[in-house]
Amino acid sequence: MTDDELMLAFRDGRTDAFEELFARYRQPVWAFFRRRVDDPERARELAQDTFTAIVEAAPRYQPRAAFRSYLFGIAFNVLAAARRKASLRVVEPGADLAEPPAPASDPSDVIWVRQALAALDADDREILMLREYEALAYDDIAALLGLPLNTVRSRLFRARLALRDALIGHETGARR
Amino acid sequence: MTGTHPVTQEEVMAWLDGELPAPRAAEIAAHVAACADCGALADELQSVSRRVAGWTVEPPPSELQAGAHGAIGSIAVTPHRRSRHRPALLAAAVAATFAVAILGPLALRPMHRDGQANAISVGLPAATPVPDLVYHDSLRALGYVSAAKGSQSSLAPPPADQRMIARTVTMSLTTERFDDIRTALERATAAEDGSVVSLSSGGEPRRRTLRATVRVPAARLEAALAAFRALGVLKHESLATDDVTDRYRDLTIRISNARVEEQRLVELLKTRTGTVKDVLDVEREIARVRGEAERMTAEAEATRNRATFSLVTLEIAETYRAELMPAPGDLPVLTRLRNAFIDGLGAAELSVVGVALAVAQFGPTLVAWSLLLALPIWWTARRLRAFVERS
Repeated sequence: MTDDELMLAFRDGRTDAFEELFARYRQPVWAFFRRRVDDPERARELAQDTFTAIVEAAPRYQPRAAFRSYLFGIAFNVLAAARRKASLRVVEPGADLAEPPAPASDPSDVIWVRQALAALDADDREILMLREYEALAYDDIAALLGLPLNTVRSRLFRARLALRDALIGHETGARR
Repeated sequence: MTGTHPVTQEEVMAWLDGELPAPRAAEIAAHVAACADCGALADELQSVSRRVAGWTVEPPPSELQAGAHGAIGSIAVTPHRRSRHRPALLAAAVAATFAVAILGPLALRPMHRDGQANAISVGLPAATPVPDLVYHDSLRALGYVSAAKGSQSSLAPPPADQRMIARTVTMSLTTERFDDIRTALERATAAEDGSVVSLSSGGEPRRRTLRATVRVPAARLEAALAAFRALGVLKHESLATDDVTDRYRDLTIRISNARVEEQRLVELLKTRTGTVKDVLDVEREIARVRGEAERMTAEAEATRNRATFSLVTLEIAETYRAELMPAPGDLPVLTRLRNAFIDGLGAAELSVVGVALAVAQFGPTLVAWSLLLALPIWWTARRLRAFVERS
């Protein structure tokens, strides 16, 4: 079943459909927050909040867009609300290198990626992360951030070129 | 590049991202294959994407791995959620009050929630409450949460002679004691160690309907069904079964294989000496295999829970509504007279309230215009009368 079909089935009362959706998107939603929030416990809460919002909004769900975009749209808004709260310490990627949240990866590579991302303009970084990690389409990102499609494309290109330059610098430095 | 190239750099990027229509994508693919500059740009962009993808995160914590039940259960078990929604609910209540007051006679019409509005609009939990119709506190049911916590146990294949059957029951009933039905349903569910997954009620006065989805341990399904049948008059009942044994067994085997493969890759990473690219490739493969194993684990847990717990979907209607469903000739005369009388009372009540609302809404306007026009009308009438007398 597609995501939309599962969501519609859940709207109609089939909780096993939500279980399947949860299984499909548990890791991506967790990763969405984990890359953006310093505190793992807070990231877990926000991921839980996102699924909670999905459950609560299910009675009114209509498949007008890809479910993936819908899901990450909610996640993005949950994160935006959390960021508005002064008590939340949100990771600027690269800002807290003492505890990189990716033990599965080569630490030095993770540090470089986070440093490079941190050097980007905040909006450019968000666009790039939504594209690279959440695999959202350009128009979905544009709708989510309230930006024109061309702006999203040009900012994404700018961000990638900046990362390319940082990558070249990183590899040049590593060879010395 | 853009001065002499038929494509822009951004188009090369969009092509790599699969964001271009097929004809344009074909043109750019042909150009990139023939153009060294654009080919190099494409390679660089892909390299950046690969490097960025290297930032993987650890698997979700166990609380989030508890499965969909944990996610649903947390709606109620997390104490701060309700207070977080309260301002939004209060605002909604105030807005609704003003809407009713302003709309006046429109309030006479049966109020139906416009459930489709903003359905796809991406919003925060505060923008999506359904407080009066969906009772999330019913999700506090102990069975749901404890089931989620228990799902961390190892996933062993079922014995060869044991089948795993997921059962789903649909029941519809009517009851005359609708006011107590929610409590009775929750009590009957709790008595069988079950939990209420969702609960909603709606409909017009005296024609209300309650819909609920209940989750009960499979071993106690029959006892639970007997208790539910006693809640009213049974109109319909159906049972659907799904044998998930093979699916579950297949998942457990695939999970086991994935873990073995992951372990093999980890060993490979420890012993292999190669380029940075090789190491990154192995790490990426480990992350992929691990993610796949986690996904299958969650799926296996969900499948096992489907067999461990049965779902019962109930629709309980108020008797009055159910009696009106058959053709009028099927009803006793006294019942039809009673229903007609109740309808008449309702219509009378609506008409009185409607007139009162109309007076409340238009009365001040009529008074104001009367006061404004009284003097000109009086003066005109006086002049007219004087003219007639002179004539």
